[in-house]
Amino acid sequence: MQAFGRNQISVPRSGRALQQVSGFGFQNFSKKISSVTYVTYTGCSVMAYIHGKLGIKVTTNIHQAYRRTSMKTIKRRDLLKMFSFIAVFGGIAGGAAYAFVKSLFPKVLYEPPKRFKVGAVYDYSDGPNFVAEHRMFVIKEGDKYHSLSSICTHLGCNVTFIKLSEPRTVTVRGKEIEEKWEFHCACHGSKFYGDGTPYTGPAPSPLPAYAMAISPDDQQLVIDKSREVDSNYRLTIQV
Amino acid sequence: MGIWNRFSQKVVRGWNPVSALHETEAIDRIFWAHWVPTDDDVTRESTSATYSFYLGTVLAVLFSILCLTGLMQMLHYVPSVDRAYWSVKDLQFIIPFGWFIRGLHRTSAYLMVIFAFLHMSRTFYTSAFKKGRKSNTNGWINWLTGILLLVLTPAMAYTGYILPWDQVGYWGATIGTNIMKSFPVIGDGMRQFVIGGTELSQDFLTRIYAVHVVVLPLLMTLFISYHFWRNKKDGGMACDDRMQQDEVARDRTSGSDKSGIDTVDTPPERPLMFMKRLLWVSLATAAFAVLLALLISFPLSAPANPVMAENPAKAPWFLLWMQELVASTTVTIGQYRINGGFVGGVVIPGLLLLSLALCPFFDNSPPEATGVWFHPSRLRQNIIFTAIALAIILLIFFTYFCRGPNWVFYWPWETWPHVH
Repeated sequence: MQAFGRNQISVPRSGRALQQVSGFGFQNFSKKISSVTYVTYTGCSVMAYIHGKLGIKVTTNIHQAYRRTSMKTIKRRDLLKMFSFIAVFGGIAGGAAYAFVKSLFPKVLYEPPKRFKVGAVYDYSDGPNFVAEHRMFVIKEGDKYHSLSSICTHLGCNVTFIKLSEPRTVTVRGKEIEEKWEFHCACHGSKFYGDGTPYTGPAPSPLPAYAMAISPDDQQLVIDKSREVDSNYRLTIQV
Repeated sequence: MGIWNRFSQKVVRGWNPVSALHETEAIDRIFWAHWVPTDDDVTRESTSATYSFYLGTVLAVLFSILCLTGLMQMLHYVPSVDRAYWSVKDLQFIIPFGWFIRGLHRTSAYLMVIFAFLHMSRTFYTSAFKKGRKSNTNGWINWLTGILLLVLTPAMAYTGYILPWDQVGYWGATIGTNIMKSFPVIGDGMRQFVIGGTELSQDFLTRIYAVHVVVLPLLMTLFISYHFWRNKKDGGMACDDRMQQDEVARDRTSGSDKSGIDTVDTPPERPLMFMKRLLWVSLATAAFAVLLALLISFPLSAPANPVMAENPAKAPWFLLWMQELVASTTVTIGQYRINGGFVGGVVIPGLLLLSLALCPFFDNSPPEATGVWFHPSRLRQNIIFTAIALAIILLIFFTYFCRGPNWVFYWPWETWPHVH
């Protein structure tokens, strides 16, 4: 017996003999069928068979029959229709979505440059000097200069510098240093030693230090926020 | 017949009930009442004031007030870094009754946060989130929708807080976006996506404005509507399975009664009674919000100063518990130090929300516990829930009263030292 479609379906030996059913109009019965129905194409008419106790399935349309016998297959035309539908409308929708999301990431940031001048050397006095515009501390110790960010490493509040009434010696990473000031954060109570190392509160990492230089044109101090340096970094300037 | 009666009959009611029995059809007949559940839709317990306290109705009314007052403020507010603060200041001091509109918006927002919490607690204590036995009751869907609304409500409040671009708002935004940044790996990208750059600026304010006045209210409206509809389809708030029995009982008592206890002579339940009750709750809520708005003044803090936070810089009260968490949950694991912003700002609230969301799926109490306040079979989960809720409330009070400058602990009666 020649089964329809690519799948070669053979008539099972068990169960009742297959009985040919002709006609149409019994579509409703098909809802009660839970299992396989065998359909065969015999010459000029489309027919269905009763198989065992599974029930009856009658079909009048050869393509429908084909689809029902093997649910996982799909007509080529339908497949192409679906593909072209997805290609056209999915492409439009996807492109639009991409454009929408992309528009939220600016190509140009109108933000202050990462490298900037912070004034002449003689503007600074010993100890931390707060440069509000850039949220930086320029720290002068004699002829040595370095910079620390004033942005708390916890959640970005501004740390303020607290001058200690008398210098004290603290141990930072196994090294004893003498500190004359500290940095405290108002928002969540983080405290940093004079070199920017956190010692209490939620701040997870030290205040970053940035590379400094002297500008060749007007001898101003320059801070390069794109270049982070370690806490021992000092720029020595002999005036 | 007076003009009002004619108008009312034609436009408002559209139909005239001839008898009390006829009035049960009001829901189907009157457009303005079509969304109200009928006796056939929900159980009678759903309309009981002592069961639900009408907390959802209160929330819906508050949301409406917020939309209205928000619209009024949109006519004055300028979402610009340079002008936002001054436009809110004008609203507060120059525009006639601007202080009232702003105050009402803010009291309603605060009340909405409180009532959302109460509403969720009510649902939890009555285990109304349970799936129910009936095939069409899906309490868990509405529970999840509710959790979404519970997140959206403080999100609205938080974005609204930023808009005046004053000190509190600015630093709140700084901390909020840095909590996002503390996310491992994708944190930086997320923050840049949200603020449209690397620093808080005009782009950020514009985005927050759009989110506050368009995106979140739309989502809110959508999910509130769905919340209502789902509730009605589930047979009311108790998510109760007695409807089948009720129908039998009602047949026995000539269609008048659901409990089967009352006699045949009981007058028919009228859906319009429920409408009236809703109206009373709405008016009471509005009156309460207005009264609070008149009594409490909400000053602006100083204009945003990007180089100097207030000391102490405290978040709005409904986020204070999270502020205390982010300030004290930085943990060191081996050589890694994990930012408290991530632990206290993302992980802990996320886990709390997740455990809330999973409640309906791990609740083993019997179906009789559904829709019953403090059912004994749910003692343990009620205790855990109460403990967490109390912890959050206590943290809020603790942070509000006991945190001074530089986040140092002070007793409420101690005076803070002068800083700055």
